[in-house]
Amino acid sequence: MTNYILEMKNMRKTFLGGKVVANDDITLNIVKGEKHAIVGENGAGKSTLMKILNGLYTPTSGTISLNGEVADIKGPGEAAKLGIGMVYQHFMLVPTLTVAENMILGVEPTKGMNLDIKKAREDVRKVSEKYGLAIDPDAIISDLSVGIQQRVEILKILFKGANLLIFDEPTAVLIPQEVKELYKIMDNLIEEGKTIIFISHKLQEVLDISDNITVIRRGKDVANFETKDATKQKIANAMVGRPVLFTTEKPEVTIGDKIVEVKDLEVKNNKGLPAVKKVSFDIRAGEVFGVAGVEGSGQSELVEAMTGLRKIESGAFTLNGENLAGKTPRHITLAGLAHVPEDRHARAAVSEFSVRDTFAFGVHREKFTKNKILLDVDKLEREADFFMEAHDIRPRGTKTAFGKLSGGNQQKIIVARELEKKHDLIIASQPTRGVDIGAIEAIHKLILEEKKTGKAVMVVSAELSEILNLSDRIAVMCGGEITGILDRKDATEEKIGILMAGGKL
Amino acid sequence: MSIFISLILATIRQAAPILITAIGGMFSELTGVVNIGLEGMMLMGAFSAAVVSYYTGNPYVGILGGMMAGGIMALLHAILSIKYKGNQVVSGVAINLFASGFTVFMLRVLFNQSGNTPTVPKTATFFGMSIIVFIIYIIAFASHWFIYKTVWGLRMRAVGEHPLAADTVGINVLKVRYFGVIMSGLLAGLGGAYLSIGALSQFTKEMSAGRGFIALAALVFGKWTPGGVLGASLLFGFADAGQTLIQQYVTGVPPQFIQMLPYILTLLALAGVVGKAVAPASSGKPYDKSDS
Amino acid sequence: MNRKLQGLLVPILAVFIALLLGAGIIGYLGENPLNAYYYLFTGAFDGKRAIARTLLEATPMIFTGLSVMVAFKAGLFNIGAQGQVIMGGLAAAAVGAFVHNIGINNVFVVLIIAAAAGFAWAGIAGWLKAKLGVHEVISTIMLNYIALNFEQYGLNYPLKAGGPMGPSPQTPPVFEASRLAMLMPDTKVALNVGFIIAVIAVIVIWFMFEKTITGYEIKAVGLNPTASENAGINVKWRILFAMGIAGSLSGLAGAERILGGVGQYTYRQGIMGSYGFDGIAVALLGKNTPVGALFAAILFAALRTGGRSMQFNTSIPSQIIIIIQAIIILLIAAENMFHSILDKKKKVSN
Repeated sequence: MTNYILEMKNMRKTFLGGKVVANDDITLNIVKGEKHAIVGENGAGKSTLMKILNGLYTPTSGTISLNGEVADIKGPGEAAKLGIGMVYQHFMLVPTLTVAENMILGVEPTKGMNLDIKKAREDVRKVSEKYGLAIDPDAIISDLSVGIQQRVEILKILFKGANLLIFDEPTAVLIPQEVKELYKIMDNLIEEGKTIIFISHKLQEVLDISDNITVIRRGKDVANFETKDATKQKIANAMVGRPVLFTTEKPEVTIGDKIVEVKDLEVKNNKGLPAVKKVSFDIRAGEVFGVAGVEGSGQSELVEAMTGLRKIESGAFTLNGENLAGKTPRHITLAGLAHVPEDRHARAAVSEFSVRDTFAFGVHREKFTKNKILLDVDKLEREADFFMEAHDIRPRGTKTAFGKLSGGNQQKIIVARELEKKHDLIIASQPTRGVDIGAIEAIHKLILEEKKTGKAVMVVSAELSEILNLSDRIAVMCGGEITGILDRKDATEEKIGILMAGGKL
Repeated sequence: MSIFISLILATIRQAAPILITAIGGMFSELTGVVNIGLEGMMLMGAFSAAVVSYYTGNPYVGILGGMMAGGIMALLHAILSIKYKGNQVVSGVAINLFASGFTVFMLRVLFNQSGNTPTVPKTATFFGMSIIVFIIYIIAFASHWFIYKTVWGLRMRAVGEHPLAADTVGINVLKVRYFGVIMSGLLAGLGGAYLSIGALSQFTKEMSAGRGFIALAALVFGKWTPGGVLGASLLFGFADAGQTLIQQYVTGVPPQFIQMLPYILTLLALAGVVGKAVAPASSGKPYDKSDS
Repeated sequence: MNRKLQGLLVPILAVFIALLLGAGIIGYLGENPLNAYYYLFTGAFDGKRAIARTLLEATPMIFTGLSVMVAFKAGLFNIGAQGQVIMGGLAAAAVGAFVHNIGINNVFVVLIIAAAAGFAWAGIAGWLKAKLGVHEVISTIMLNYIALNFEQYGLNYPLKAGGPMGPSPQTPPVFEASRLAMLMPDTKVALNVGFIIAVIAVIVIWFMFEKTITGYEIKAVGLNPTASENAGINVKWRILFAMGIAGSLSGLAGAERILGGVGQYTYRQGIMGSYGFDGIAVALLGKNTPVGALFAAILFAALRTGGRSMQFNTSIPSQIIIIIQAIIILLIAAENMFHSILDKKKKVSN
């Protein structure tokens, strides 16, 4: 009998009175001391499964056994007592409180009626020394870097005595250097006798560090491999249920003249600190210019500055010779810049608007009005219907609320809408974030088609594989500066990794 | 010199109802629930305190009555906003409208009056100020200790800033919010009780006169901290006190313009705080763990 | 039953339950609820006079209901409708009673001036919100109190009939040219063209939101200002514009009260009642739609005029209407409670 630390049998979780089935008869067995990866598309049900384990959700049916004994995990407090701890993708840290306050939250030591902050600080120091993860107990969370914040998250669950640690997309927000450090921490934890489950959608990462892989698709566990027998193709096929293409055919195109020029651009972030420091580059017609870099390197601010949503402190930005620095978003759009924003829910569309109204959003004054006063509803209906047919977007009705579509379909609509605008440059920020593998192919195809019509394309992405797949030239940003620009043929993951960490080639 | 002293005392007096209501609002908002209904809770508190004082002949029982009335209104707001995840501003506005109507209706039913109750027993005074004023300032100072030095205070702040994080460490987010909202009602009710049986000895129609809203402004101006709220309330109290003084001494200016001063001051204060005042992050958003 | 239908049912249920609770209170006070409600109904609808009274009372509430609704679509709470009503009324009285110029004291011009006064008053809050991020709930409420003081000042000094030493705090009657024509003169009730203008306003606002670019942009700003900014919509202007329109609608309510003759064409104490606040209830009950506001306003007006008849013919004080109104609003605020009860019923029957 294998030494299982965790056995989840026939787990079932439904919401809304049975209408939504998030987990459908999933069985998961974790060996003590292993690193087990859970892979699956967005909405497949992996987060739900882990939340059941962590006590945030109660299962509709199924059993959980820890070290052979059946366990009833009534809440997060219970889960912690049973030795289960989760490091969330979006950290569960209160930004305005200190490290010590976050650590003791829920298990606060008291001295009479008061909070015993002295003891809290001591506790932090003890745990931090035991696992060799240095941290300042009085630091305020919002002042710490992402890598350090994650360390606090890990210490938090170790403090509560976690033996089974669950990591949800742990490297999504880390630079390569921090990723290597995290892998080391994970190895140390295994040596200390811990067991690790981690959710990841990065197939290479899964192959690199896991011992065992479980694939979840549409709420069911569909495959389980020992990592030594697994390949990227096998995993991806199991995730989607059909063979998947990893690289998209790039059309052969002669690259034309420079049409976009950015020179010595300086932009500040929301805290008033410099986020973009004297950035310069140019993009030619028919070229896909990739901007790589971990989130927080200044790319968001760069794109906001170019699209008129953020003030440019100094520097120039010209498109086809026209200086667009300091102009309004509307002016820039009319000048020929289309934009697929990185956060489609916040920036690209109104979730409550119907699909039909979403097509008009941003172009309503140009395309869907006869006299600038009335909305041309008929034209809107016709075009919306046409789009949905052409790009195979379901469900078909144009009156459905935009927010009700799947992530992939939402993004397809946004991308299609932007491409329909009269433009010479399109900036696509994190274009396939939260999009299923099936739709990723379609979106990449749409982007590459732009080359044929001589458009300039700027793709900003934290997904290295996406950048390598699409770009003709790659710029890497770190700490607000461009640390290097490479031709695709000269670019390797290693080189880009060095540049992302701020090093030089 | 004596004008100076009477001005200070008047400021402390006038600030009291705004202060305690604002502290109440702070309890609610720190946990993430917006409470626009403070005005209504204050009004119900004023009315109930007067009525209970009338029927029991004891103003101190009246104080409790006032606080309870505010608490009950707050419970209603809590159920609508927390349990049923309704729109918190609409709920608050509904409570204000209800309180206006209810107090006027009961005035007629109980006393057959349309403007005010008959005189009721009021509380004892020291230095010309009702004992309630002293209670109010003690509570205000104690709230600083409560928010920053106790377990409850820490949990309240955590729930307000990141309710999901608090949930994942086993804190009952809903319970903490109920606590915050009900406290806001109890304290606003106390503020109202001061108006009817502390400062005067009767309830008059609409006697809260917008103080519940000025308290909200004091909360924003004071950046949701007890110290800030104290300062802001004293400022508004000063405007109120100063206004009566100015009317006595300044002739030639129509009194209505002077009466406008506290409200104009509030507007200017709000305009000036811009960008620097950040409400608790989850303010106004109902908590739903499946939103993560 | 789907969500949308459930949503439409809520206002009807709210009114029904409130009336039921009202009947309970009436019974407790010793009267026969059916008898009382008979007088309520006839007082509001029986005969030309009753209908005229009801529609007259509804007119300002249609305007203020639309006002709150328009602001709401832009994501703003216009609690300041009352102040805007007052400023519109003061402007109408000031021009209509004191300006001798025939070109200016013409009724249409006066209406436009009153609407402009409302636009400006709400615009202050709109500008504070758009430019400085000041929460409009507090700013509009402060503006209400300032407007109330202006009203007192106006009625006692510059606008007072007979000057500051005059007999009572009210303006002189407005000139003939400024008056709105009567609709049912034989009823001796001041139902006037203002009602027609209110209905036209309902249609105009409906059209604006369904068919125009402006309406589309206001809705977008109300639902998602960040995305709207990204789409090239000038969010600050839209907020300002929406508040302005809201203010001008309330301003017209105030103007109708003066120019429509309900107070002998003068601005007197209390003539603006609580119409601004009623607008909030109307918008909520009308589910934030123009047509809903129209019906909700007529409903509340019927309760009022009926309530007076009820008070006259029974011992029930008319203030009970305020309670019924307040219960309706609380129930609307509890809408989600209805949804969850109805959802539970569905689950059980499945």
